[in-house]
Amino acid sequence: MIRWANVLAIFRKDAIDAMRDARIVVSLIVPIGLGLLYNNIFPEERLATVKLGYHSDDTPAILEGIRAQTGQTVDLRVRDVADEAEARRLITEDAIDVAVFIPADAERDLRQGRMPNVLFIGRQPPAGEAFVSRALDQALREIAGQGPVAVVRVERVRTAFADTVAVQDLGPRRFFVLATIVMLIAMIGLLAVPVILTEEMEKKTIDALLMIARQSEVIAGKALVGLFYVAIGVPLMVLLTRLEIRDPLTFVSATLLLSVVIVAVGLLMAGIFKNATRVYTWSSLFVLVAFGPAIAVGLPIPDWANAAILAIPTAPGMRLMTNGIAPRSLFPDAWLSYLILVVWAVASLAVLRWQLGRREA
Amino acid sequence: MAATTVDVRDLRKHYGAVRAVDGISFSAAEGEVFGLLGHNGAGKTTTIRVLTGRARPTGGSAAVLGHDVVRSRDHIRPVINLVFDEQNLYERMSGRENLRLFATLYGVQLTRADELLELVGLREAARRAVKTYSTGMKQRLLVARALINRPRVLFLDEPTRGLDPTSAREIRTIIARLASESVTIVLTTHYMEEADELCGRVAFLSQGKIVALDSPRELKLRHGQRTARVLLADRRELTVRLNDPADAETLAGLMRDGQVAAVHSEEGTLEDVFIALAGRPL
Repeated sequence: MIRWANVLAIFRKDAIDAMRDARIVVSLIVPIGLGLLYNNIFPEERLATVKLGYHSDDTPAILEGIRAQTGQTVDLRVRDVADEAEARRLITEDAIDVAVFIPADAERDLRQGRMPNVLFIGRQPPAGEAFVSRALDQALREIAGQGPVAVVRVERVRTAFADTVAVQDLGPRRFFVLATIVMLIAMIGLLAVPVILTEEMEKKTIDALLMIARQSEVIAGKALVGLFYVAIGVPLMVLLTRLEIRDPLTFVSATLLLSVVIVAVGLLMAGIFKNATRVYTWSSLFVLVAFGPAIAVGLPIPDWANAAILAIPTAPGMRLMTNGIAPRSLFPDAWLSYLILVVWAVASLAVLRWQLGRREA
Repeated sequence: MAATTVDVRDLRKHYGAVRAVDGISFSAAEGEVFGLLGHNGAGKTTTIRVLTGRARPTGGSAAVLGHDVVRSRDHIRPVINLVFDEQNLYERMSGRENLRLFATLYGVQLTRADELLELVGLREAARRAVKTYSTGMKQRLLVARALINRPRVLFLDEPTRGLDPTSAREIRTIIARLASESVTIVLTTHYMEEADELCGRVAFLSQGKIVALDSPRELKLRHGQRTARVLLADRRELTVRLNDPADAETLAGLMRDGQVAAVHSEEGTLEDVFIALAGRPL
């Protein structure tokens, strides 16, 4: 039976003491710094904005048609303009990109097959002109009752590569910031936590703890430290990088599950290496093994490679976290990712328990 | 008669073919300082590991305060403590933080940490990181940590190793004071003078077995030489056997004639006893 008062005392000691260890501090700062760097060097994946000056002496049907045609492809910002002179001035001042003038009775003329005189003023060099002129043309044709000149049937053939390219769908900024969050979890679990535990073993301070606490309480204290750093580090990165979480339940559950798995693996690593210097040496390799699949998840890779990386917990973790921030679920087989993470969590905790049982005996 | 607090019977601890502890038996009473002496690898630290519940014995039994060290570890933990043979302190933490951590773990008042810092003379350095402490200060902090739970049985594994004479003296004073407060002390040491000064009884361990167990005085009398060195007025020296009537007569004559300047007992030291029993010095 675990005595939680002991676990909390050990956790509190480690959470504070580890912050005095430069190795731990660096392991937390590197991914956060990298996340901030990616956040700034990659462009914001915002929709292109087109500022439209609009003047109409008629009904708003044409403007609604333009809006409907531009739809999700462009961020259309409309303002009224009084006349051509004002439109030209606003274009010169970069207040608008294009201007459209609709004469009176234009809608009626269109419906009766007549050609109203619509004025379109663009800028040199052009900006957003193509979006608006195409949308205007379509809107006018629809009001004039002209159907499409041909029926175009679209078919898509699946390639040998994974069908989701998250780095494109999310945009490089959000994708790489998310990847550095996974890196942060890996650095905490595979570096900070095993360093904290092996240092106890190396300096034999663990023997003093074991005079009153049980092995399981010491290990639980270390695990809590890892989860605590994740609980502080991940929200901090989300805030600093302004990452929008669209599905908090998926994002949080994936982060938590992945953290439990990685921290448990880190504790097992400590049992193998037993020496903080060796942990520090080898953990870079482990972090790379963890970070690589998280990046590969978002790239166009062959199906066999996609299946292979799913065996590494950071890949399903990254897939779920991607779903958590994407406007739509980019990886529909979320159950598979959850299943892989749960299997990893159960297996690693079972091995840890077995290892502890052997030591306590 | 003081109650038995440590009771070891035919205790064995084997690591594969290595018999680290090979059938030892002894007991220690309340307020007694009991010494375990021997070479490196003789089995002293292994015995302490078993008695403190950190290693499972291969055979035999050991009880502390009436509780079996294997079956009742949780009963024993709060009432024993150990001064380790290594200075296993949290070096980045202050002395006070070190003690307060263990006060929390043992469920005692945090003010106990300050009391102990005062006791071991570390009050001034209480807020400094332990890594800035001298070896002697660290050792005193180790002793303070081991006293945090007011243990009824205290194990000390080489508590004065590597200390300067002043620091070693301070530690020995604390040990003697604890014994006078009815704490049972089980002590391992390489220093025979220390064992002689502190211990009520000592056990000599060699290759996992106890080769002698008694009070230092009895051991010295039993195994030491029964001779005296006589310094004469003319600066000559003479050795007399105390159990030889002829030598006794010679000494009496010299004393009658006023020729004796000084007589030095040649009673053996514990080290002599150890060499006689173990075949080589510590």
